[in-house]
Amino acid sequence: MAFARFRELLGFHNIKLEIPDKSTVTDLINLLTDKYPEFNQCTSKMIAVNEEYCDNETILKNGDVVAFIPPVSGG
Amino acid sequence: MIKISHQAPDINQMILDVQNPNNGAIVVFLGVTRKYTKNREVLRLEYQAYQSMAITEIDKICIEIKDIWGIKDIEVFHRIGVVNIGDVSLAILLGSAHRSECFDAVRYFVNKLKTTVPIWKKEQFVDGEMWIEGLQPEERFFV
Repeated sequence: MAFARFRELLGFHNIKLEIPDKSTVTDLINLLTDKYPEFNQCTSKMIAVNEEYCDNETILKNGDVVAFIPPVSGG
Repeated sequence: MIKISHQAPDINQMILDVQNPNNGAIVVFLGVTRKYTKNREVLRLEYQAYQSMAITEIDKICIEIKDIWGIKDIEVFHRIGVVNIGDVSLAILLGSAHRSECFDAVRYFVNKLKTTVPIWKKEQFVDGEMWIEGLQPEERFFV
């Protein structure tokens, strides 16, 4: 899932991807960067897996929802 | 209660919702859309949220201020979609026995919301638009 500026850069809100078993968030980022060169411009992002913030070493499993979250600016 | 909505909040109802005989103080914080940012005229704001996660993250802040300050009566509203100048985008109402804990807690609440809750605003100007990302320099001073 992508939001705000990231959504506009990448041109999607959500996509489904098949990735190898035991892939980490870093692996997913590398895959997305290959597929979408604009992903390089999505800097300073936080990552959430299933709506919980996590780090790039988190191992993903089938059905996980990964969100790339630009620095927030509510209020 | 936590609410994220395209519709404007009913502040009077929110006050009633935190008003009870245990509370000697009710603090109301309203975030309102400014007309100028860095001397540039803003036409309107547009808010976007990762709604389900935003509610979860706001709920975590509610739990924190219950633990730290013992505040039990909390109403939180965040607007999404287009918000015109002068309209309320954020409302936080806290009720407690005394004012001191309410003042401290509401400051903490707003600052935490602005760093962890997945909501974003886009400023729309006469000559362009821009997503705002993270705390702005003038806000960092107050955290």
